[in-house]
Amino acid sequence: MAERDPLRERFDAFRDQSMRAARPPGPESIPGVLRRRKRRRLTAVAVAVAAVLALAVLPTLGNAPRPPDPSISDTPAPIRPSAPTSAPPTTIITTTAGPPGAQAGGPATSTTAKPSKCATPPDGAAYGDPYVYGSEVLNGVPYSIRPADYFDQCPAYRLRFVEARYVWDRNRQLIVLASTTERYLTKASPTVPAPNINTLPTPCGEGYVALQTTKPIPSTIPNSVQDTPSAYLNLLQKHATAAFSFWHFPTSTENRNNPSCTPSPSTPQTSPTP
Amino acid sequence: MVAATRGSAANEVDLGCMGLVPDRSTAPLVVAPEFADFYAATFPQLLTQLHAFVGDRAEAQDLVQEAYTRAFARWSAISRFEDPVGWVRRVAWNLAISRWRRARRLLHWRRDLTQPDVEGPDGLSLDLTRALAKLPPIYRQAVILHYVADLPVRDIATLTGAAEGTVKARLHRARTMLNELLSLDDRRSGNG
Repeated sequence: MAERDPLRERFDAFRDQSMRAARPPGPESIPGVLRRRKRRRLTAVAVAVAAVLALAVLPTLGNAPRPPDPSISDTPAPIRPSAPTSAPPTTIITTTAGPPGAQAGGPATSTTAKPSKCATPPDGAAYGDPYVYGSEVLNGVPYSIRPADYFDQCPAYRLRFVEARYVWDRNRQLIVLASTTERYLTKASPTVPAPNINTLPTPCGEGYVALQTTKPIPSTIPNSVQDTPSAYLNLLQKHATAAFSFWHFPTSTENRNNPSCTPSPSTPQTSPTP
Repeated sequence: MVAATRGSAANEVDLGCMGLVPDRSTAPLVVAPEFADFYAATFPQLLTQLHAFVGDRAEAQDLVQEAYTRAFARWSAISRFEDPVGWVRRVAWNLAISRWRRARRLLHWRRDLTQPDVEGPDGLSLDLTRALAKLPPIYRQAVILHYVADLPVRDIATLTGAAEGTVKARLHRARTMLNELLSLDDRRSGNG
């Protein structure tokens, strides 16, 4: 007779008792459990997706384009010089503004640089790509701002232009400021009419400049620069940015040789703008 | 076997009274009678095995119920298996082993508690479960599958992923240890 396994009896007893005592909770609750789990999974996935999106989007918000801030100084950018398309009188210099210190009438350069920020450009510096049409100015074509979308980027921008007229003083020793006209270029009116230079009396010398500036412009042009075709512009650009200029001042020697240009007691037509 | 299905077939259990409102999810929404029968017929066996392993009936019931929950979600496939209860058994044991690993220290702390040898609330003697608790888990699993589940060595080897020789060795050592523990226990209680 085989030996009976003592563990078998204990396990059988345990199994019988446990089977009798077993009270299964029933399968009825299982579908509800599955539904709740699925709902929790979907919620967790939604939260995870939202978190990932937030992490992906939030860093880019810091680099989003900001609205114009006039308090931020702009970086000067080169402006577009232009040359006359038709030959003007030899003594007429039609020029455009360039970087401070640039020679007017130098090699034409073109740039598509746009102002990166909406701020008032510093005086005496170029401010993007202002208008200058060269000889077209002589025909009274309005001048404006380039690039054309400048005001689209900076709709609140107001660009102050001063149109200044210079003449000889009565002793013909100094070129003095005769009159000024202040204009503002805005998004609503991005252009201003150019003066009709053809009507200006120029036999003995006269200058006309449009300057972007927030400061008073020089009331005199020293002798040291007046006979140099572009020196006056360099001087003015220390104070402002010249959008264009018409400059016709015969040299002192030429004036002395011109009887009609002898020193006269004439005075400036208007008082200089402070 | 017929899988648990969605819809309102006449032979399906009406779970509306249990607050189970059908939705458009892919999971079955009602318990098919075949699954209910399978559940009722096999749940106590698995519960007994897991109870012997974990030493706690409530915990064992949670494990077995979880195994049946997973089976319910896949019932359309599992019902076609040759041995559906084998799938549930394996899931239940895997859950038990995983949970035991996670709570190893806690379980040791609980089982090392000195408890008087009294009958449990369900009338079961605690001596066997206390002795089983002192076996290494792999020995305990082997001996439970052999004595409680009545599985042959080959099936135990398949379920545990061990070689048959290894299972035999585990069973031998488990028997030896259990005999010592139970005889010692009997001597302490004056039964032997």
